[in-house]
Amino acid sequence: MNQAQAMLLVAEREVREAMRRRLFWIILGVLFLGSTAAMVIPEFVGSDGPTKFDVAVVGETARADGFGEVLVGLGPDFDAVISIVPLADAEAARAGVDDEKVDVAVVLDDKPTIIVRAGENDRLVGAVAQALSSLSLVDRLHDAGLTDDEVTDVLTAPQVRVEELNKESESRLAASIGLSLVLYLLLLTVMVQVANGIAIEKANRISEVLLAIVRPGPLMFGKVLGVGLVGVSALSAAIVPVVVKLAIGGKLPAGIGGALAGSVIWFVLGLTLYLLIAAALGAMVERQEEAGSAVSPLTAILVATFIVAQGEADTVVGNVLAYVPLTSPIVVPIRLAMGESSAIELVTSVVILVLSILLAARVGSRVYARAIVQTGHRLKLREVLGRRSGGPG
Amino acid sequence: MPPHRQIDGYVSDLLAATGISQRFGDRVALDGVDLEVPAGRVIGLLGPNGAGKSTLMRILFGVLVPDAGTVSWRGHLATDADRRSWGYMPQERGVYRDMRVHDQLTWIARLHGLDKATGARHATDLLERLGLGDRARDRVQELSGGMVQRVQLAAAMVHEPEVLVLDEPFSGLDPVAVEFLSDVIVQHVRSGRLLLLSSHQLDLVENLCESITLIHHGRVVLRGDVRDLKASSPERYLRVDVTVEPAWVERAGAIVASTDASGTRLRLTPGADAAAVLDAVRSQVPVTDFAVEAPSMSELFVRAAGDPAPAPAAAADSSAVDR
Repeated sequence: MNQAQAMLLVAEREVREAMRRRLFWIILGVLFLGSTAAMVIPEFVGSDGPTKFDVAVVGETARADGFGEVLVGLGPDFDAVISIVPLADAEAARAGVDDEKVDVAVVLDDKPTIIVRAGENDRLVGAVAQALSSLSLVDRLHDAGLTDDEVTDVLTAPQVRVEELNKESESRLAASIGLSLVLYLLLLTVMVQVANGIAIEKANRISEVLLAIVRPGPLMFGKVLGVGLVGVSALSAAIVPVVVKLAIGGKLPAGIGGALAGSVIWFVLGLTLYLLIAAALGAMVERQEEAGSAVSPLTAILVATFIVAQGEADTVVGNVLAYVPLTSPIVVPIRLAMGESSAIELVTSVVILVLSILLAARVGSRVYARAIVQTGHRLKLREVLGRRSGGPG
Repeated sequence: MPPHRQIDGYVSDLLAATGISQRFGDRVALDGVDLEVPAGRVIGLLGPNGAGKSTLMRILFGVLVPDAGTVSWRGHLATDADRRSWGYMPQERGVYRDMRVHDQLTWIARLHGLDKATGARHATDLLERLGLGDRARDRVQELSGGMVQRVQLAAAMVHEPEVLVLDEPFSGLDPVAVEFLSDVIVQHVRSGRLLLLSSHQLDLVENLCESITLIHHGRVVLRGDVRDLKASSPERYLRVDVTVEPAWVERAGAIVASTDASGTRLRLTPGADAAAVLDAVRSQVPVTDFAVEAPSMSELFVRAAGDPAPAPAAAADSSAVDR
């Protein structure tokens, strides 16, 4: 058996044992269902089409027609198609609303009345009220002596157009926040898991048994690989619904496709880097409970990056963080989703990340090899990297 | 069984450590220690706590790299591949508590280079042998303390190693478990393989070990065949089943070495007549059981290491007064 085979065996155990844990399947299920919901729900909401409303109108014909015209014209404003149902009197209108034959009824007299079942159809009622006030305005303008043309002119002149800015970038931002949240939570969880797993092995002296069989390198890299694969499988659970939707030709929120592809690269590289460092830090503890605090520097960087990335991903700060090894795995996917990354930035970022991984593997395995056999107290980095000291009893 | 053993006998199957030195900071853990483990004999690496036994064993397995010295196997420097074929049960031994017993042993066998099917078969056989056959599917955390210790032993033996090294295997075991483990150890060496065990409980293992290396403060103070060491010692002891006052035997040439519930052990001064000492005791109280004995392992150790207490006698006395 060579070192690579030993490493694979160590990794295999991690994956196999993770798959035996109920928590693993719960996390996988939550991610899968959450992602599926995010892909499927907009389809249902979007495919419903405009809502249909029936509005009963009571009043003299010309007036009722005028009102009906205005009201129907307001329908598209709130994605509705409004049909007018002329009725003879207020009693019939009340009965109509009560029996749910119409959604709203309007009695047009000196003091117009809107009849509606309590608490229903707020937006429709709003539109009806708006149509009524338009009608009343027309009446007054006529009373003031304006001609029909002039009235039309007054009513149409100040037409308001709502201009929605950055509609695309809004959905990109939402996608990127969702993405970075998933990456952040996965990195955090998996990283702590590696440190914790190594701390358990050291504290329970399992490492003592294993080190007599396997060199420290394969032991550490196998752990990182195994736990990393478990993390990637969790990410896959989140990605599969997106890929399926792409495959069957569904429309994705803008920007999420490229960001997703980018996220996979940066997530895998970032995961590797974080886990290598977490493994070395985990080997320095004395008791299992110290694993969380041992990786706290990494956690702090991760949390800070996540927070800063939410507001600053598209600024100079975000640009700089896209090159920094420990921050780029969170920042780059967001910048990709927002369409902020240049090709040079991406290539440089990956190169720096890969070099950092090589460095972390080298230094990390040295720290691990020295720290895992030193028991008795929690080690400091200086102690581990410096001359050999301390040691077993 | 390797064919060369048929030709060369046990001579070629030798695990040896030569000139091992190890420091931890300012503390010298081992100072030029030599150790030889031939096949077919129970070899004991003995000494008090902190003597350096565990450090030496970790060095044998490459867990620690010594400051000086070499570990050799069958005449060449031991390699990682050699070591992977050995079995080691460390003093501070762990197993994955949330893993199933059989899975864990199979996995460890595979780490040693066995294929999965062979590893699983060995695990099944060994668990059966160790009386854990019906617990194979259980997680380790569901087992009693004694059972976990057997799983730890199984983890060191599942690949049927040529060399089995057990660091303080008896610590924390009840008498039944001690008996059981002793049987396993004897079976291992009787099949012509190598076994090294360490213990600080010298008298517990003196009937098991055939050859010993005694270390103290990182140095070897005594080594050799246990029977030879005892026979060649000039010291003799008289054990009687009564409590003896020192004054009774002083003139006959004996001093009280130790007294416990089962009687008194008297050290005979050189040239003393054991029968005369026995008569001196019998003149005071009736004696129903007695024996002349060679020194025990701990008595040999005390003689070889000098004063076992690190502090001078006067200081020890004053600390006793303080308490």
